[in-house]
Amino acid sequence: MREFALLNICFAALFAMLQDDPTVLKPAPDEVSAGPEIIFPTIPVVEEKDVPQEDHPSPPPRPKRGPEFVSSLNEENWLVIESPGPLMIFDFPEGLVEIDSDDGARPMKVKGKFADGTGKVETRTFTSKHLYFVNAVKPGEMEMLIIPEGAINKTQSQRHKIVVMGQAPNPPPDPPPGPGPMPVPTGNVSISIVEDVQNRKPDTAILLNAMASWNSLKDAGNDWRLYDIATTEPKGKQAIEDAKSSELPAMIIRDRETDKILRVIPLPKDFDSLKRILSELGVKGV
Amino acid sequence: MSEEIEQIIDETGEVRRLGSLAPPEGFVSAFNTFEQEHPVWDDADIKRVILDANRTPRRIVFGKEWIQNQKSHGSCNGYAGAGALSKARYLRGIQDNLKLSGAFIYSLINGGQDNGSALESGLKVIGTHGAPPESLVPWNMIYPKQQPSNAKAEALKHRGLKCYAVQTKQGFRTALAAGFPVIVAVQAGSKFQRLNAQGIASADSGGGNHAIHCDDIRIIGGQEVYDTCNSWDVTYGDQGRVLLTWDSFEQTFGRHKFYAVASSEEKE
Repeated sequence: MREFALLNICFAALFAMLQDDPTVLKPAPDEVSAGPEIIFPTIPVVEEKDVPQEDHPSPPPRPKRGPEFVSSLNEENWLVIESPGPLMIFDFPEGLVEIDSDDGARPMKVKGKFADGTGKVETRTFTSKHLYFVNAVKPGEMEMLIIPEGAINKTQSQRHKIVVMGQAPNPPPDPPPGPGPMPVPTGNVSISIVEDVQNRKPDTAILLNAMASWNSLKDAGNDWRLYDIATTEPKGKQAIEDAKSSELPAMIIRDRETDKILRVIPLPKDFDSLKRILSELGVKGV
Repeated sequence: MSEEIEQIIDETGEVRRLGSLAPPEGFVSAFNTFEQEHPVWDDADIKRVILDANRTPRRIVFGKEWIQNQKSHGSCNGYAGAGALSKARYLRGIQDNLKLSGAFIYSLINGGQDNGSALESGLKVIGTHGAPPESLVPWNMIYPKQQPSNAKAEALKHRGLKCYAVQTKQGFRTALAAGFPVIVAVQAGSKFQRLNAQGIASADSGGGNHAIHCDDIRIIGGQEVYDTCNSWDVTYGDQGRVLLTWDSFEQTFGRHKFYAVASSEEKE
């Protein structure tokens, strides 16, 4: 997931380029232009003749159309993308949806409500080797960029605008403490603190002392680790790498469930600042 | 040989062998000194840290369940190191309450005899071999042949990463304020076993015959004291702990080196 997050950042730039490139194929919102391999859910368009008269006392003329891509997702529904090969799916901005992949045994039966479904609980059987389950996390409008692994042509990619949980446009994001997108955690985080223990300052000692007895943070399902810059622990080395954009001591806050980096920041100056930052992220137990 | 180290009978009647051996005259530690490697804080900084409102005294963080018992062996040095390393782990966020084995550390530095050891030797083991859980190598396994075959492999999972010889009183105070457990030598006599109303023991006369670890620096009744953990079970002192003033270290500090365990490392 870490690699996914880093790729995500790289593709944010790519995404911006694609947006400005008039030659890039962008599926129009009311036309199905996906390649045959990727199955993005669609919904049928209701024909005029099917609309009750009382809803449209003066129906305007409307051309006949085919099905449309799903463009909204609420918290109860799954949006399932199917593909015979692995996909890279990038969500912009991050955090409005959660995307889980599955390439396990097939066929796979899934019971639930679907974004392209009837609004009722259904049981569906999926046979495609690669499935991507998208579910709503936070209201707003977002886009998904879907690229098959090994794609050599931009026409093999798809872009879809999705209104998540019925709200658009997005509410203004929180002020960014550092570069990069800022997903919202699921409630639990793992915190890595990277320091040069040979240069521990009084403020750091005060904060670490407070953390040592902050039982409610861990009791709520969060975790934290302190790493010296000389560590050879794999997770510590990763934390050191992640902290390169920050002065030391640094703090890397990850979503504990997805392992996505939420913040890379200098260690807060005091305990109250730390609690405020975690509280803003919606971390449980703060 | 075994008659060479001192022993006393503690308040509960248990015979305690006092196994902290002073290094020879002119001994130079193989470890970098704390003062060379870490800035030494001034009094104002130390006071600011230890009086911070969010600071929980270590004796609350590390309650009586952390107190170990070396019983009748002269393994205090191993236990002092194991206690310091266990707490260094915890203070890194590895809060699994794992107590490491003092008997294991002692087994690698006692030369095959229950006749005490030097603090520096124990610290070397912490950095190179590490220490396994005490549940795997309990107090009575003070020789490698008594230990399970996986003891060394388990020990390597928990090692000291950065450990320093503490050279000065200010360095000692800084290390404690910074949150680093410090292995110290004390003179364990009758005064060491008697605590006043504030939980402070006064100093016995002597150059240091016993090793313990210190995990806090506090100000009690206007006096700076050092909170220490003995390895004589919770029946000793105040639930296994005793507060000492600098007087208790004045004589031992020159003869023994003290050692700070600043960081630890885990191996899967």
